[in-house]
This record gives sequence, structure tokens and C-alpha cells, in this order.
Amino acid sequence: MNLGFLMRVALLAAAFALGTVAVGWVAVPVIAMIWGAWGSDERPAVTPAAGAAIAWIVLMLVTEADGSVAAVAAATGRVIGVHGSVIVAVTIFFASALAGSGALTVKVISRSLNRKPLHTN
Amino acid sequence: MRDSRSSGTNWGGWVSGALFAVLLYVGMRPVGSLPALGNLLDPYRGVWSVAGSAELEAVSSVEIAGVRDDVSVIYDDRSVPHIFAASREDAFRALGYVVARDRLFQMELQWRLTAGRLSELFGERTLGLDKSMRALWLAASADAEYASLSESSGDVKRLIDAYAEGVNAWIDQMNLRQIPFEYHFIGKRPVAWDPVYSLYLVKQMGFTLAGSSIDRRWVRVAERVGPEAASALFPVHSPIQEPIQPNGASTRFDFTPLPPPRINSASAWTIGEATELDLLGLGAAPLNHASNNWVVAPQRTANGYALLAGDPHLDLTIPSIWYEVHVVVPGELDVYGATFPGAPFIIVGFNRDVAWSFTNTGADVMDFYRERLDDPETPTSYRLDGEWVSLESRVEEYSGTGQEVLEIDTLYRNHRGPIVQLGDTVLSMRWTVLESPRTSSTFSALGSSGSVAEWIAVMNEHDAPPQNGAVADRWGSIALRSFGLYPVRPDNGNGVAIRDGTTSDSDWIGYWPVDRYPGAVDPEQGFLASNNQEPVDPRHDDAFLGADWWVPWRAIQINQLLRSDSAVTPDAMRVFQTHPMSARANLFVPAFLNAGMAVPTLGEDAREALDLLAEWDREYATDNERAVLFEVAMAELTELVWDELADSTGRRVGTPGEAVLAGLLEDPASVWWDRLVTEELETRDDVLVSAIEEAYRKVVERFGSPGQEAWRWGGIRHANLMHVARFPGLSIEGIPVQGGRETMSPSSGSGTFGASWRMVVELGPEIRAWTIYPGGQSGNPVSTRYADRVRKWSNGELEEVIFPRVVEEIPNERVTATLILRGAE
Repeated sequence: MNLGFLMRVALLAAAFALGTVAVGWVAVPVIAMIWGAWGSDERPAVTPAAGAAIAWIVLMLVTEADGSVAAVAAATGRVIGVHGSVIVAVTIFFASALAGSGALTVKVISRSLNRKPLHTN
Repeated sequence: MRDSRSSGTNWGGWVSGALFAVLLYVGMRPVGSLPALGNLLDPYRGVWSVAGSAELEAVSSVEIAGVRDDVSVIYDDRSVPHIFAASREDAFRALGYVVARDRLFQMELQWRLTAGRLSELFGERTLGLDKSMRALWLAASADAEYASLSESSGDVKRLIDAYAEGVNAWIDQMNLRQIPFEYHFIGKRPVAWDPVYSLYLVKQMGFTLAGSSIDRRWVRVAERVGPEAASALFPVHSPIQEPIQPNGASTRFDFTPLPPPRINSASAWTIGEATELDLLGLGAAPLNHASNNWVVAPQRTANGYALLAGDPHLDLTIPSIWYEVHVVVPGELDVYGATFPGAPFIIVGFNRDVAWSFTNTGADVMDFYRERLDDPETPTSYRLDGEWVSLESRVEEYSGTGQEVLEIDTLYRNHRGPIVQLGDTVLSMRWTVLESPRTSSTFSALGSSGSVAEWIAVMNEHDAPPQNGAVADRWGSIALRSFGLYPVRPDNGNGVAIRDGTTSDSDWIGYWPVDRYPGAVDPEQGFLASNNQEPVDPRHDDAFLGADWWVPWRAIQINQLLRSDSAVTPDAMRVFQTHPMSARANLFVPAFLNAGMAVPTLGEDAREALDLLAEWDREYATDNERAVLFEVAMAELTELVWDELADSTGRRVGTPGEAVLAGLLEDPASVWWDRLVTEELETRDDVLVSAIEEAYRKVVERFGSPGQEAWRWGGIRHANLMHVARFPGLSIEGIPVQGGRETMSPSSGSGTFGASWRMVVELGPEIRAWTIYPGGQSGNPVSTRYADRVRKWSNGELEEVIFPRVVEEIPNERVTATLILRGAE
């Protein structure tokens, strides 16, 4: 793990957070796809996955400042029929997997189109 | 991840592509019962954001168009908003705003229920309910009523409109974090509030409280055992008289022998009619809805001030059907109490001079008529007095969650009311709830009453649903009267059975005059109580008001308590509200015990059961270990006695009230005691012993031997506060309660009805009041205010209210939030 990677994660996390606030969850796959298409990341899945997870964790922590995220998790869990912690985990996984898979998918497609060797992480 | 292209197949790309596609799909589309996960889990505008609006801001202000002078809303530490405004319009604008802030989802659900538009939120699964509700024409009736309101209708229209402006101000200014929790799961956003929705709720109240008719059961039972027996089983006058209008006696029993059943297989048309009435959606009519209220005159209270208690027994939902509020307009209005979220009235409450509460009268204000149509397929007219008269029709379109049309049908109405047809059977329904333009104006005016006399004058204008209003004032006056429109029928005046619709001779010929409304003002006995029983002893007035009345078990109980206490305190009133003694058990337990002594040979189980029953103090406290045996025994007794009423499938077509069963105890050799399935001729004592014996076996089988903790009432009978939209996990179930069937705080069956609000008011120089309801002020399940009153409610506790005249009278330490509403430029 090098500084460059951390910088890219931080950059993406900021983008995902701002995008989510500005337009909603769809910002996550859109930003990830852009990253996959134009980024020259050696870890095209891991970097956006980590960035998205951090972004949504930060947004939930910001919400925590206004009220209890744990209470929301518990209530949501009761409605869906799972423990509240599962809701937290699914939320982070959803953003992370969406970003990682979105970026990687686009990267694979673009590489295929450009007929260049793929270096996935 | 290695480069799989070297082997010819890019598996990593395929897997990530598939995962991405799946995540996008579940992000955008609901899957099964799960909503679209993207919007739900979005940490900024999804369900997580609800955390930010769970609690009230300590200090906030908002600009609202239409507000003329600043309105101060001070929330106390019970989350009750005290609204201080310079005009009624501003006050009710603020009321709409604060109620919407706490209960918006519930409000939308309620108006949609009445309007038959739930399918727009929930899709096809609520289509059947929507069709049933529209068939009642409740919303159409409310639409017409609103259209008829004018500026001359007092200030009712202005207040309803102002309330709607307040609701819409909240909806318009609501940020993403303030969207109620439930909307995140159904993928919808709140829609604007139309003023007429308040009237929808008034109609819904009418449906809840007066949406029941004896006709259906009477027809079924008459078909099974003959009309003479049916009339005796569902009598017009209660065999046990404990009326709300004092009759100069304590409980009066008026038992007459039941005529024998004339068991009959049904004629086709009556079965058709019974089915038809079920299809109206009235089969599930809320027969469980009951209530208590009583007033005590100063000469019988410890402090020398009049006292009032009220506890409407309605649906136990979470959030509650009630919202507690205080509205002050200096010099005009200073009213505190419970409002229905969505309706701009304090329904039950008090002001500086008067306190009031209601119970349901249970009068029969709904009749059915057999109609003849010109064309059953596409009718245009109906037969009346030898002529064909045009029907009114209305095309109804039912939309789904995406506004797609799910179904279209046509509803019909004649001069009596809605028409329902199925096969060859066509019925019309006349119902005062559909003809009640004054309900909103009476409820609106109650809060301004300055005395019992003024309050009664307002309520004399009330039309529907019929209610028993208990009222007391600061000058020591008390009163209790039945209010509402009571139809006068032709012929014998009896509203039981279905009339011939082809003649106008069957129509109602008017309403009972106000001076015949049952009730009393300042009676010599010094107290008055109502508990849904027949309101007047037929020896005083035998006008037909209804039939198959609630058995007055609670009335007997509260009247005994009030007679035996000549210095009633507010706390005693509170204790009475959940008193565990059962007047019903006091009548039936001796019958079981006497039967045990009369039957020469008792089995071991019967002997053991009777010994246990004899030990019982006849109270339904949560730690009681005998009540369960009695309850099961009564269920067994009902099953054994009314076997004549079972149809070919074994299902009873109707169950007579327990007052009839109590009367049957006086006739030990009645043929009704005999069981159809046995060859022997059973008598009363045989059946009573069989019932207790079988009950004992069932209780032991289910809960173990006597003495086990499992026999404790608190572990058996619970209150269940069901979420208003039945969202799993948001209900609060299994709350132990002190009370059984027809005790003061009744609990039976599903546990989903009960004391929805409890209030005690002392009308001294300074009003003192105590209230509670199950739930909390907030509809947000994440809020600490969602269920903060449940524990005290289940314990039978009340909380003393703050009743300030001005903002400054609220102690600072009890202020939790302040909201200022200002006029927008």
C-alpha cells in the first residue's frame, strides 16, 4: 500500500461522497465507471471499492452527529428481518461492490476495445 | 487478479460485470419484498437520513405563507406542542404543521384508506380493500360535504383550509432527511394534503364507530333458527339494564325465556344477502370498539371539584391514532386534548371551563333495502313506487404504484345510498355517516364551550357517528347524553332486518328529536357513566335506537365503584380505568360452581377445575392464575350452547351476546341447553360442567398443570400495538395488560384494540389533568418519542399535563423544543 494508492482512495472517497450528496447513490456507479474508463489505476476494483466504502461510512458518521445511526440500523433490520449490524454491513458492501465492480467492468470493456493486455488487481 | 485473457477467457471481467449488473438492478428495482436498495441505503437521502430528524430541534423557526402573526410552538418534556397564536387560522395552520412533522406517513395512509387509494402505495395487494372502501362512498360523501362548506359555515372551512396549509408547508419545506421512515421502504414521497382529506378522516371515524349493522347477523340467524328465535337472540333491548340515563335502580335483569329454535336449511336469497353484506366490507366491522367515560359531581369527590374520566377503546396502533396537543388563541380558545392526525379538531379534551370525552353509542344508523334494477349487468334505474328512477353512477379507476390502471369499475347509488350487487341480489344501504354534514362543525366548536349547557347545545347539532358525550364543568355541573342522528323507521320502527326497497314506505321518516336523546344532567346520584351499553331503559323510552347492545359488564363495574366511593380522588379515577374486577365473572362463576354442586357425579378434571375457579378472586391482574381457566370455560360454554347456530361447515352464523346467555341461565331446562350432537337431553348444569371440564383439559394441555407460571394472565393476554401499515418489526407486541374481556380496560382476542387514550380531569379553579396513550408523539420509529409512553400505559399510569395560559407559564426545565412560525413575505 503506497501513498499514491492512498491518495487515489482519498480522492475517490471525496468524489463518491460529494456525488452521493449531490445526486444520490447513482453517483457511485457513475463515478466508478468514469474511473474505470479513464483512470490508469493498477487496482481498478480495489481503489474505487475502498473509496466508496469510506465515502458512505463518512456520510453515515455525519448522520450520526444528528441522530442515532444504530437506531436506524435496528429499525431497518426489524423491518427486513435481520440484525441491525447486517444493514450497516450491507450498506457499505453495496457501495463498495458497486464501485469496484463498476470500475473493473468498464476497465475490462475499455481494454478489450483497445485490445491492450489487462492488468487486474 | 491475474490476466485471464492469456487463457482466452476474461473471467474477472465476466464476474465483475455480472456483479455490477446485479447490484445496479437491486439498486434500482424492488426485489420481492425488498425495496430498491439504492435509494433505501443511500446514506444521505436514504433511510439513514431519518436519524437526523428523529428528535426535535431545540430551537427552530420557519416561514409559512398565510401566517399573519408569529406563532410560538413550545414542546414540553412529554413532546406535547403548546401552540400560542393570535388567531384561530394561525393556530390551526401551526397544528397542521406540527402534526405533519410528527405523523405525515400515518396521515397519508389514513386518507388513502378512506379514499380507496392505498394501491397507489402498495400495489395490487390492497386493491380489494380499496374497492371495498370506495363502495362505501365515504370519500365521495366527504367531497360533497367539503364543496358545500362555505364562508357562512362558521369558521370550519377556514380552519380546515388553514390546517391543510400548515400540512403542506411542512411537506414543501421538508428536507431529504425529514422524509418519514416508511416512505423509504415503499419508494414513494409524500403527496400534497388536500383540505378535504380532513373530512375523509371524519368519515373514517364514522366508519370505525358506526360501520356495523345488526341486519346481517339477524338475517343469517333467522335463516338458521327462525325469525322469532333470531329476534330473541339479538334483542332490541338489552336483557341486562344498566343504562347511561339512570333508571332509579342498580342493575336490572329483564330475562325472558328464549323461544325454541326452528332449525331450517336456508332459502337461497337470504344466503345471498348475507354474502352480499360481507362483500361490503362490513363483515369485519369494528364490533370490538368500545369505550368508557364517566363524570362525578363535586359532592362525591374528595376535593369538591367535578371529575371526568375518559378512555376510548379503539385500535391500538403505533403510532397511536391520537396526537396530544394544546392550542391557545388568547380570548378565543384554550383547548387541550387529543386530535386525530389529519383532523383539525380536539376530539377529546378540556379547556379552562369544561372537560369532555366520548363513548360509542352503538346505535343502529345503517339499514339495508332489497332493490330491483332495470338491468343487472349495466343498470341505469331502480324500481320505486311503480316507477323506474335513475341511478347515480360513478366510474372508479384504481391505479397501482406506477400510476398504471389496475382496474376500472362503476359504482351506483340511489336515493338511499350505495348499491351493491352480486348475482341476483341487489341491496342499497342508508347510513347516517354518509349524510352528516355537521360533524366537522360540532367537533370544531366543542373547544370553545364555556359550560356544560353550552357544550350540550353544540353537541345537539352533532349528526354522526352517534356518541355518548360525558361532560363536566368548573361550576360543578356534570352531564352525559347520547348525541347524533337516530333514524325513525316506519312500521314498528325496528331497524333490524332488510326492508323492501321498491317502495318509499320503507324509508326513514325522520330522526328522533333532541329532547328524546337519552341522558341526564346533574343527577341526584352524583355520577354518570357510559360504557357502550343501551343508553336508556326501555321502561323509560322504548324508541328503537339499536339492537344487540354491548352487555353492560363495564357499566355495572364502574357504577359499583362509583356508588361505593363518596370521596373520589383523581387517582381513584385512574385506578378505576384499569380495575381488574370482572362483573361478567361475578355472574357466570357462581353458575359454574352451582352446576358443579348440582351434578351428582363429577369427573376428576371437573372437580379440580371447579376448585380452582372457586379460588379465583374474579380479577384479571397480570399475575392472576385463574382467569385463563374462566376465559376458556366461557369459550367452551358459548360453543356448546349455541351449537344450533352452526352452519353445515360448523361455523356459527352469529353469536348472541352474553346477556342472552346470562338470561338462559335462568331457564335450566331450555331446549337451547341441549346439544344437537348427543342423544341425551342435556340441561344447563350438564353443559356448564362439560364446559369447565373441557376448559380445564385444554388449559392443562396448553399451559401445564395448575400452579405453573404459564397460567399467569400477563403471559397469556397481551396488548399489541400494530404499526399503522403493518410493517414487520415496527409493531410493539406482547405487552402484558391488566384486564380481560369486558373489564374496565378490556383486552381480548388479538389484543389490537383497547384503551387508546386515557384521561382524568379535575375541574377546580385551576384545571388539573392527567393523560396517557400507548405509543408516543413521534411517528418516526427511530425517535425516542416513538414509544416512550408504552410502559406507563401498560402499567395503568397517567402523566400530569402542563396547561399554561401563556408561554411564560411553562417551566423552562420542561421545555424541550421551541418552534416559531412566521409569515412568509
